[in-house]
Amino acid sequence: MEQLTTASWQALLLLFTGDPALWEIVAISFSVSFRAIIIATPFALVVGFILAHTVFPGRRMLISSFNTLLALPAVVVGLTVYMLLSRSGPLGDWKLLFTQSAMIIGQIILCFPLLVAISHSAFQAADRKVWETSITLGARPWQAMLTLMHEVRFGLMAAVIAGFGRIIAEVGSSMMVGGNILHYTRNIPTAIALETSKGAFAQGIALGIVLLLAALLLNFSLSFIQGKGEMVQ
Amino acid sequence: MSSLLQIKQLRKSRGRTGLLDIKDFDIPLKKCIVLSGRNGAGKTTLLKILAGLEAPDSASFIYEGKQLSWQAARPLLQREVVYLHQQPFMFDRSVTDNIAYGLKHAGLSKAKINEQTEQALSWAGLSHLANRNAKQLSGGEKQRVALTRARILKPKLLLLDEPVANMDLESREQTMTLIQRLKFEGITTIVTSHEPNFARLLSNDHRHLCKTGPSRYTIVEPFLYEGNLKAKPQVSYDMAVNDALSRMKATVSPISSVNIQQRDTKPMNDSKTLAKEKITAVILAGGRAQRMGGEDKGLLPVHGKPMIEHIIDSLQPQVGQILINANRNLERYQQYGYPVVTDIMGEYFGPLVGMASGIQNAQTEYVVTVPCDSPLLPDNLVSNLSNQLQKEGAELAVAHDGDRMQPVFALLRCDLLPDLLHYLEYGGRKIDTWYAQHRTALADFSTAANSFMNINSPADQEAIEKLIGKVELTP
Repeated sequence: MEQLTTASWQALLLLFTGDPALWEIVAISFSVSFRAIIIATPFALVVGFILAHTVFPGRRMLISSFNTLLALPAVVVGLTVYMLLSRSGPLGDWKLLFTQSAMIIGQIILCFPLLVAISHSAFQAADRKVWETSITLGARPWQAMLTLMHEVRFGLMAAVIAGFGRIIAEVGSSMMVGGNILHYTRNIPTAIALETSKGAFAQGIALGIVLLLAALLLNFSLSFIQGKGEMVQ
Repeated sequence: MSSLLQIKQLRKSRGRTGLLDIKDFDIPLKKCIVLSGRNGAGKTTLLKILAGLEAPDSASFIYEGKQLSWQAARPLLQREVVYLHQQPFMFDRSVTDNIAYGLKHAGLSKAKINEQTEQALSWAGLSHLANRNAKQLSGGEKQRVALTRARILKPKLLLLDEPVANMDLESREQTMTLIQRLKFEGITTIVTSHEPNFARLLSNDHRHLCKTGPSRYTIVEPFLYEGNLKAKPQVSYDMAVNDALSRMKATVSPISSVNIQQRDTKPMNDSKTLAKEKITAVILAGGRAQRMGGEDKGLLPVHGKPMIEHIIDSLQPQVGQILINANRNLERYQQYGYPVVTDIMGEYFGPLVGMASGIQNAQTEYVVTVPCDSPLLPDNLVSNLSNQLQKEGAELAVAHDGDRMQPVFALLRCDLLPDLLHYLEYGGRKIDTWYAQHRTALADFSTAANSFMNINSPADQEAIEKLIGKVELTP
């Protein structure tokens, strides 16, 4: 217990004194996950839209597969990306293993099904009239899609925030394909794992607090945005 | 009159609920068409097809003179036709942005968009709502925003789906005023309504989605009598709006009273007998003749020639035109050189459907109906009926043989058709019940009671043969 208390004090000290090593790790973590979510979101939303608004053979199968992929373990993604990117793997020539790019690839794969599943249900819940009204007022299909996205923007934001929450905290894939290299691919979760195994709890706790705060901030901002939307009547 | 869009051979099934089966639907340029039909008749589906939002099972389009397949017509329709939902959808933005929505996608400059949007807002009297979120407006306000949002695009065709359904009186008035104004601006418009009287408020161009079988609907044109149109004086815009508004108030009272009120048209005493050009005879030969073993009675030979020939012979001097209503042996009936019309509804639903089919296809103000199995028609059938009708200012006149009414020998005003279709669609089949809803005159034929003898058995046939023999011998 005493150990926990002192470690926590040290953690707060680290946070408030602006320990550069700690904040570097935080910066890497957010930069990697932001890039991953920014790349994944547009594609995932389009897929979610197509699943909700078009009819094609295999559509239901696809929806089920995305729902299944929600439970995809991060280590399995890590393993797969590792095998693909390793020097002897099919994409070995790209020389991406143990880089931030590899981490981004892993995180994109992790958040993609979540983005698709949540945005799909947001699109599905939207009134059919949105689409019809846009089209009849002369919008082209892609413009109507943007209008529809605007109408369900709160649902889509929820998808993005949920997706971001998943990848900012995942350790399995980042550890395996990033390699936990200091100043380069060491992010919050991998650092916590490392410090804990070393017995240096203070930095781990400090980073944990940052993660918690980030989660809190994201969720508050989400409910703030949603509060601006129309109430359900 | 040039047409904007013509649809032919349109078929569209809608799961278990029904089937649109429309042979020909012509939308004339710069007209306002009211499309009526009961709930579930497919009005919305038809409009969505016209707007390119829903695909028909099959159809061919002639749009602005060009013959197009659905694939080719669809993008054109999506671009140039605007469809308004019954409860219009408002984008989650300000009223101004909602109205400017279409213009933004048309690639206009910002200044132009602002200018036009501002004009549109004041046109619709919505300026005070410009910055409100459109989602928070009342139903009537939303409808007006939607109309403005559509008008600003200057659509080739505007489709309004039940625009005043479920609205309070004030919103109804405001919405109707805008629709009237759109009409006067010359925008081709189709307005749907399930209220039978709605058409009269808005337009003389009335189409009806009519049930023609189990889950099967087609378009008919109930107001065929063009005299109605000509009789109406040309009205100014304000007059028309006021007129429509006052009549709209009337629709709030029970429909039946409105019917009576509106049927109180000018007395037609200027001539005692109707000119025969105003009358089409409809020979009802569409029955199944169950009591005669299913034989086609009209073609049954009596005294040397098919019964229908006797009837045609005696009707010809009495009326302007003749129509034959038949459902079998159409080629044989066509040989007589008169138009042959089949039942517009169902299969062997009875003489009332035959009458409706006749009125539907007649080009005159009045229709006289006779069955095909009474070959001894009186020479004064039409004149007697029309005298009585004129005398009593009635909507229809029926023959009476001294003992009882002969309901299929009747003279009817063709503008009864919408009401008749309405009655039929809701399952009404009995002639007497329908007659009872209208001012009916009885014409006395007690001196010619034999004329109404009809053939339901070989014995009847024999009796009639004898009578015909006598008649032909006397002169």
